[in-house]
Amino acid sequence: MDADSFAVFQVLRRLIALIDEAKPHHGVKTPEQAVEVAIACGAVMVGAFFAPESDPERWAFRSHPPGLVRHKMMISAADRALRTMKLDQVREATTGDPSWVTRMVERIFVRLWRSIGGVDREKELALSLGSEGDLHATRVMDAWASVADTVRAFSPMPKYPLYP
Amino acid sequence: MDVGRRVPLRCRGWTSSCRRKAMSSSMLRCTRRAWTRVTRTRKTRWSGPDSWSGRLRTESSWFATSFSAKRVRRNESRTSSGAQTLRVRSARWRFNTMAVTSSRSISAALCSSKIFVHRMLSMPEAFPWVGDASKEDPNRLFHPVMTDASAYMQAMRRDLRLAKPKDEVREQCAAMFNLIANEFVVAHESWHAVSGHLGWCASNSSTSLDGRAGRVLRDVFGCRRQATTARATGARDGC
Repeated sequence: MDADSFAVFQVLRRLIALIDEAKPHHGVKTPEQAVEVAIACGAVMVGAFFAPESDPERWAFRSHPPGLVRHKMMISAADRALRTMKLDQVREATTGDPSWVTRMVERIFVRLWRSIGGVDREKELALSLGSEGDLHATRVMDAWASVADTVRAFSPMPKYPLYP
Repeated sequence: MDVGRRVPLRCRGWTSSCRRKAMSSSMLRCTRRAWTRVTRTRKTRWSGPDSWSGRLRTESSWFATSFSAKRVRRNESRTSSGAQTLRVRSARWRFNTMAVTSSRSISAALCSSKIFVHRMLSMPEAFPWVGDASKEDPNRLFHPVMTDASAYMQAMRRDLRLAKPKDEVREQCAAMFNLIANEFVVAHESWHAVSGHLGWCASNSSTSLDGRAGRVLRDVFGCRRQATTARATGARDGC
């Protein structure tokens, strides 16, 4: 499991725990809302609002993937976290629903990205959310598959919580 | 900060007769001069009126890198009313935060998360179930986030656009979401400590990954590094 996946899992678990308390300022009343807030908080923290990303040819040389590529990975991480927590109904209504994912990308990653950052970088959005972003995400996925065993061997934890 | 508070208190204590005799007037002048110099040259941040003197207490601010004392005094002289002073100083705090943000460090991310969460909840289409989203202005504009703090500061001076939700519940909720966003970073970095970046693995490995990676293309190695940070496992996990 990677760092972003763990962060999404941890935040999602915390938000779902907040639902039981049900205070107005917590802002989360249903698990579906918790998923949205977890992904949005992740979007806040990946720093996509700052400097423009470089050209796709240089993406691989950076320490982290482009911010919007990471957003898509976070949705995937949220999906895995919901399966692990056995919240199948929530998963079907959120990350398992393609229309929800499309709506989420449109709302959070396009409209809010522009509004919050005050930027309008059409080309970057198109590249990161389009086929170039998908291709890069696939390459990162393949790279992970090649190093996962080694990384896992160095982990001080005997088992991953999400992948026993 | 401590010097700025301690020295005047000691000065007040020196008005007692015994200490006044013990302390020569020249020493007192030097101390007062030093206190004045400290409070004038220090990068300051407003933190409320001082209880004993009615002055604005100053705090040292490690992120106040963009503002000279001259600018601070100029701002304070321009703004006479308390509320306006508070607004300017609040904006200055944001400028300073942006200055740190340009370094893109983890501490900067923690500082800037409040700004972004506030901006997010100022938009009515974001989290419409929180509070009364209709109170928010859909046409509200924010200054572009820049990596150049001075340019951002100039834009804010020309047009002060603060990011604060108009609805009280949404504002309170922003504080909660800010904590959640911070926890995201803490969890992210904690997992790096557990699983490690690939560079960490290589430095602790008898079979260096760098050596293996040297045989493959450089961009593939770049992807491997990123793989420990963010993994897209959609196809692999079948989702």
